Amino acid sequence: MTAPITTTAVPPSGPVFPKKSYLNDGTSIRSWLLTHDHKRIAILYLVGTLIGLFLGGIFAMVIRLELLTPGPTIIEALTYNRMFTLHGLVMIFMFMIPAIPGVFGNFFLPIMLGAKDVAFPKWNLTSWYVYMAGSILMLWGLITGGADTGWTFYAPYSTTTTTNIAPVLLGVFIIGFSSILTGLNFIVTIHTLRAPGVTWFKMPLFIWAIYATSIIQVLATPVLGLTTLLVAAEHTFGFGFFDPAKGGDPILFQHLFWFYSHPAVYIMVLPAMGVVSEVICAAARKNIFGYKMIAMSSLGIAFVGFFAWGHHLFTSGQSAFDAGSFAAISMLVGVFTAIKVFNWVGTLYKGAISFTAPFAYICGFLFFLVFGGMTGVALATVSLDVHWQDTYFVVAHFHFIMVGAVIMGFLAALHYWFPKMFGRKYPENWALLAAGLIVLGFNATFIPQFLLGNAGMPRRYYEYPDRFTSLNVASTAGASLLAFGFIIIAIYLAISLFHGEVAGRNPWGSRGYEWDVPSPPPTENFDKVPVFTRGPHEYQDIPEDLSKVGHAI
Amino acid sequence: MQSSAAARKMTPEGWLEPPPLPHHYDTAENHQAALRFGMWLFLGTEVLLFAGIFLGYFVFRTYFPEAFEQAGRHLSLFWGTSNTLLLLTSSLTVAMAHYNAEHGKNRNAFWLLLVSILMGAGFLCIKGIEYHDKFVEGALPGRFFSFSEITAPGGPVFYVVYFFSTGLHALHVIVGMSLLTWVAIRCWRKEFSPQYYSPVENAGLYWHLVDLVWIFLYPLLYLV
Amino acid sequence: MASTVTTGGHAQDNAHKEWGPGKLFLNWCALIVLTFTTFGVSQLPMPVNYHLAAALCISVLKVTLVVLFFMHLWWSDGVNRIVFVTSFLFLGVLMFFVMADVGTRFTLSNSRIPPMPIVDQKVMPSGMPPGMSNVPQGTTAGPGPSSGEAGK
Repeated sequence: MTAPITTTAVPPSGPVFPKKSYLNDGTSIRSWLLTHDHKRIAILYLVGTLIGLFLGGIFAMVIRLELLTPGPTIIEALTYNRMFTLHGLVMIFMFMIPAIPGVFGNFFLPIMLGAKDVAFPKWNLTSWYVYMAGSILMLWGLITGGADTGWTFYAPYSTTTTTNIAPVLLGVFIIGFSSILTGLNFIVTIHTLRAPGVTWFKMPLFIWAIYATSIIQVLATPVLGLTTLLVAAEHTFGFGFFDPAKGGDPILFQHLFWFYSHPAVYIMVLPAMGVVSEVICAAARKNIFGYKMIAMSSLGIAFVGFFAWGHHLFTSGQSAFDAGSFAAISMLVGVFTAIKVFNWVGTLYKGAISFTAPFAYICGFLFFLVFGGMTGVALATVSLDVHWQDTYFVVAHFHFIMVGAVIMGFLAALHYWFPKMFGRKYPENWALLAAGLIVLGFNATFIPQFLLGNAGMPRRYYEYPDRFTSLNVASTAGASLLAFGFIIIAIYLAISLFHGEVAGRNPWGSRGYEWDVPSPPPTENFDKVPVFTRGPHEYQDIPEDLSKVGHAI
Repeated sequence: MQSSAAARKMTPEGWLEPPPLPHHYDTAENHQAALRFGMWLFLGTEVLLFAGIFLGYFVFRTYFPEAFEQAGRHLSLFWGTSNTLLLLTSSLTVAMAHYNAEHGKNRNAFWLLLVSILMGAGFLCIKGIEYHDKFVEGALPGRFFSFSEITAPGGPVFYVVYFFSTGLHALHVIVGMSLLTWVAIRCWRKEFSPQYYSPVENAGLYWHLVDLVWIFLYPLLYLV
Repeated sequence: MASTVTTGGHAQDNAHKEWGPGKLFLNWCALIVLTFTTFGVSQLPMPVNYHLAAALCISVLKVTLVVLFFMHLWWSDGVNRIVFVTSFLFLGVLMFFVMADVGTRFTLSNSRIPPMPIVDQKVMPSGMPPGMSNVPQGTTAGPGPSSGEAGK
């Protein structure tokens, strides 16, 4: 029994909540904690990553509150250092890296491919446990004694600091393992479990994005693992690998660290770009413009992203040859990103846009990605970076991408797929209000930071000269607005989980493959192997007779 | 990790029937291909894990070439070469075990795996002897260094690279031995057949990777 | 209905093409021979860099033999080969850029890398603060910091 595809009129009887779905297939805690179902694992990841987002947000607010006044405000200097370390580590490793792949990748990858599960379901569950174990260890280390090195734990400070850095590093190492397992699982799934007819260029673009992300995860994360081990060993035993006084090379640390951490930012942003491709077609009710270019540019970003890490070392003392090479290559990434942005805008052109909350976040995404990306290209210019390195300009740039692009993408995904995952709709007007607050708050928080950085305020500084006060106050005010927006989202989504209007199979009228299964989907996803009769993101030629559409169930 | 051997019946050929196919795979061949592919991806991550320490070797060799040469000469060529021969031979026995398991000759595979595990243990014993000698000499990393025979600057750094690379490698040897042990037990239970031999293959692939790392470590540390 | 792409497949007939114990033993013999070759070459009097290059070449050969025939990559499908080769490629990327950095940075005071060639500051200013030079002090090579041309 399926609801007709419609965005406006709902039949008088209204959509019915499926009696049996993955949500109530076993209701004990054991059935959730020992599940092999990729959808339940996605929900487990949702819980974990939202805790990370919440904690990271709290630390961010503490930072911003402290920066309200030039001198000490609410905490002391060492605590401040711990705060930005906590904020960075928790946000990146507990939220940004695992969130979109772990939640939406896990949930929708098999469904979009016509598979019943990922390639290795038990390893999938293991990856969640590894993620939780690593997160708990890292948090415990940060709380008891707490690292004050910043999330980048540069040597030789990180190897000589008296704070308790070893469990933090071990926690990061373990979380890295989770990342590798997830990426590995997804790559094998995409290669081996596609349903008949789903060739490589018939896959939804979200899958392409996840594929590129998974490749980066598999190739880059081991180097981070080794780096954390090296720093932990040096911190514990005083080996002198990175300490120049003992013959070591601190720039070697930076090379090793950023070899992972630069591709890591593409791990964060590529899935969000995949979400944009999905939502933008549904919102504009139009085929995607340039499917192959978007697919290939995802791989292009993943590839080129590996050759660009030295732009974090411009002022650290690496050679001029390396600096020049990395600068040139870093700018190349802008080409692939621009291809995507032009294609997305091309998709919107002459589309029939319905301005929903997911679309509001997409608008935010496009705006912030362009400005964040352009400031990135500016920072890739070595001579300019000499002025901006380690100032708030860099902070603003990466928050434009991390929050402005990735978190907007996450929120867009959360709202777009909320009806599919939980079978209920959220209140659209509250969602639009929250989206507006978030976009506004974001602007108010981070645009002053560009100005601060350009004026010379260094990052990670506990105190600052009086002349920077007004911009800092503005930034904190914006952060409060941002926080308020998030709180509103949390409230109405929590309420909608239980009391939202029943969504039906396809409330958006989207042509994505995942909208063919019921909302929420049954545990098995499909009764028999599905045959998708239309291409991905295909909005033309909608048949009058719905029985022609390849229903899965 | 597959369903327990107890639930599977013995076939007339002398091995247990293959475990049931996971519900989301269409053919056993596809499942095997996925397992193999997953293992190769994991080996790729291990290559990149060791990449960093090899990089450390080359970087510090560039900074302290004399110390690296001197220290290399003080490593025991006898033990190092023995270790190399041990690992290469264990690679052979593991490959043969894979061949046997693929043809359902479980008992042969078991003995071959046992030999491989013993060789791995031998490797670790030799490593232990070498480490002990280092402790006695004072040839230790970082601030523990007190080996007067290395006169050029950079001696402590060489031993950081040495201990970290061989230590990480030894850890992988231990993991590899554990995997081989688990698979060997399953061979004893006659679980493998031409239709199902992936665990032997995958454990073997991991062991071969351990061998690969040592093939690079041996000349760089001991010979050059 | 098989999946669209066979990846890393080992069709039943492929299994018969894989080497049996005899050929595996021969492969092992080749590896032992190469090991002793490495050892032998290391004893020859050669500049150190030649030793390094020779050792690496022979190691690559040994690794190729192990990967292709013990690990069955010779009979495996393209995807597995791509994965393995790609991991080495990125290892190469990491090594290349970092070694390029190490090789073209300033010389350290306690290393044997010769100082960078002295650059005419008027033609190509080094961007270093005036009074500083990238040549180790106390060496005979090149002018000291009192050179009036240093820095621009």
